[in-house]
Amino acid sequence: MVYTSVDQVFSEPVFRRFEEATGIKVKAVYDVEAAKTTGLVNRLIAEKARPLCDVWWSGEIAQTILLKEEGVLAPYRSPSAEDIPPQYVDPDWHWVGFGGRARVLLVNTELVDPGDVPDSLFNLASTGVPAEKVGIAYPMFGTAATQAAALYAFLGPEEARALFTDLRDAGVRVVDGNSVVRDLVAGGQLAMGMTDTDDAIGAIERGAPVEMVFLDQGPDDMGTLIIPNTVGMIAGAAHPDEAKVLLDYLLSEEVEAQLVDSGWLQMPLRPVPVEQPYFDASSVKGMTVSWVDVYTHIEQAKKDMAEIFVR
Amino acid sequence: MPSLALTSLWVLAVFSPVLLLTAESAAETLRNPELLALALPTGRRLGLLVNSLGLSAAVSLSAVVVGLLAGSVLWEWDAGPWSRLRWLLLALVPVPPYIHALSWMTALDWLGVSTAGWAPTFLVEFMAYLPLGLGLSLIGYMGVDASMVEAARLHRPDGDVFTRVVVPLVAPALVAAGGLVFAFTVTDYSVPTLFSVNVYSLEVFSDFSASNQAARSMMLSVPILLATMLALWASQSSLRSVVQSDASNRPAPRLSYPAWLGSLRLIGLGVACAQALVLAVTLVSASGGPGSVVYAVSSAHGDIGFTLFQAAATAALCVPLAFVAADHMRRGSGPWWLMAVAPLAVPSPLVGISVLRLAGASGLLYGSWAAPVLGTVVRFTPVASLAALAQLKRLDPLLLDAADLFGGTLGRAWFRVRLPLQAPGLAAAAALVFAFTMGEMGATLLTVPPGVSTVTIRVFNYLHYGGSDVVAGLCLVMVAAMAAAGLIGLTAFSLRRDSGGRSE
Repeated sequence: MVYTSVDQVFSEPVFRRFEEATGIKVKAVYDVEAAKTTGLVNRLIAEKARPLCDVWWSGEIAQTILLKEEGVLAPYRSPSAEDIPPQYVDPDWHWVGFGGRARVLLVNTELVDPGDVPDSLFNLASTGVPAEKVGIAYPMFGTAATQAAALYAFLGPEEARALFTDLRDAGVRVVDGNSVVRDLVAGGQLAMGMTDTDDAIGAIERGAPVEMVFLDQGPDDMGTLIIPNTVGMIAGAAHPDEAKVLLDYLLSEEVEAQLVDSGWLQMPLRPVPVEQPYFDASSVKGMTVSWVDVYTHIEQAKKDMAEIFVR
Repeated sequence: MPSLALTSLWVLAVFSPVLLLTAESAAETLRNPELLALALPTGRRLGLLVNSLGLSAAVSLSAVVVGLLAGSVLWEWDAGPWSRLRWLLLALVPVPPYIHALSWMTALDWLGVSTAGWAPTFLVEFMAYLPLGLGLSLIGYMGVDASMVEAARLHRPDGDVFTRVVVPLVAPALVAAGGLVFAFTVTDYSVPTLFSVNVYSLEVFSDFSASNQAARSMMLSVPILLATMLALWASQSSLRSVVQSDASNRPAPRLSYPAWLGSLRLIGLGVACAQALVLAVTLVSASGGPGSVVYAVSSAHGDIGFTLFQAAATAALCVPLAFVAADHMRRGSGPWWLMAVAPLAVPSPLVGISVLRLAGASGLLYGSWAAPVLGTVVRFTPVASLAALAQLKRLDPLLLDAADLFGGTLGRAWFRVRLPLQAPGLAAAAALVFAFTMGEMGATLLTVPPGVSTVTIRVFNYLHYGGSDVVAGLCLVMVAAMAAAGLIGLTAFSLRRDSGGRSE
């Protein structure tokens, strides 16, 4: 039994290959972006006393740390995770990160002159592009919320809050999720907007006149946030042995390569034999931030973001 | 009077999950009294609440007015093929507003109109709920006693007859539609957020996402609960005050409307047709042709199967519960009304959480296919109750009382008299519940057993991925299934118009 916030179109083929390889049947519940992060995480917390789920697979990390703090996850040291960098592994092995997606600026090349493309989040709304043509997803939900919390951790709450307040005051358009940012930029209703690399690549593959720009890449800049997938075993899982087999499989290089190939991951955490053709992942400068710090700030960041943008 | 056992079953099925969550929230509030402050919005939250209430009032008023105007045209289409085809306009009642919104975004883009702000939000919410307003309006028109209208025509011009006789007779159904549309709009955040508009229900979800505390969300939901209950209470008070009986088998009277009213009726019909056409055209064009629809269906056959099961099971369970609820509401003391409609105002994820808690605590239904069915039963029994009541109010109360007094045993009275009399209303209730269940996601996502999914969950999953052809294909499948269910149920009204009330 697996709960996952990874898009069904990407995660379901992984489960099917796992079933073929092991003979273990996977039954999944797939989260949706429209549930606004109130879906499967709350379900796991509500089911904590009598878990139905064995394995949690998330497309990001902050909610997974929340599940650890809530006592939903159990420790498991997977042999497949031995070569994953330690900053992506919980010290107590309640969760492990693998692969990753980056926050990226998606730019409509028909609407934005190259000289007007910003190079930093701090000047997102201060180039030649009208601010109302610049979009961000509601930063209370999903990876946009994780990015807000990461900025709280990296910059400090005051500076991060000021950054978002400035974006609001400039008139940046806040929309209903990363996929909506993608669709509006691809369709030309927005000139550019912040989204995830998987969304951006989806638009590129469908032939939209867009390009990806990684922000804050200078030597003294903070870099862009790279958000790993995370997996963990549910405490009290009814099928712990099968859960461990699945966790070993999900953390294998084979699956990381499969997910890079399918377009879900763009930033593998270790060398894999597949490369995505859209950018050189090794050249992208990531934000250096402690995930525990990110989690520590996420509740306050979400509340502040609601105060700033929901009015 | 419904038996104690049936009433207990209604209360147990519909209210026990929410009552459990309410009790837990109350206990948490006792431990943490500052949560009470959340129930009284101030500052930014008060502004959001006012905006939400204004939007919901405008949408419900518009749906009622256009429903009234367009319904008056459809009312006259009571012979030949149009008598069936008019129901097609209503087949889109339960299509999720988010799907309407995506279609209208496409249409507005074609027209070069802005897709941000209050105007498109209002337009889309209005269009999404117009079929509901139109449907209940038409049901109201079909309950009008044509002989009363003909009698009035002897004394007054037709324009006066319409405004002074027909409209008051249709008003209870219209006001009921307004109350339902208000309830659905005030709890919906999906459309406003798509158009970058902030509403109070987004605040509730945002807080739930940040805190993961159901008690906070329940407290934050109190203003929406109160506003919804007030709107429904007002609407249902009106519904109670007018008793009609569909005593006539005569066709709808052909009134000669003054030019201004005739024009407004045609405009209303045009708006109703536009909402159906925009949805149909954008979905068909986005689907990429029959091949894409076939692919969408073949890739989701398991989801389609479970969705049909959930919708059918929910409808089957809601109908007897609505039968009981409607009878309590017909006899009508205030608490019964409030109890019957209150679940409409509870945010859907909280319904899901409450079902999980109840199922987990009791050990019943947990992890089974029955859990999501219970969630949709909780959510949509009020809709079924109102639909059943709309038809019940057309029956002669003396007939019902006589059945209770002289029908022999309770079961005999119900099965031999009441059920046949109320069958059209219950069929319509079943169709509405079937269709609303197909589009439900908030509660189902939290209760569906692992390995099982629904068409709507898949649609929203593909929306994130960007598979617009698959989304459109699946939506067309849903629309077709909903249309079939709606046509079966709503046609029952027209086929059985003469089943209730006094015989001539």
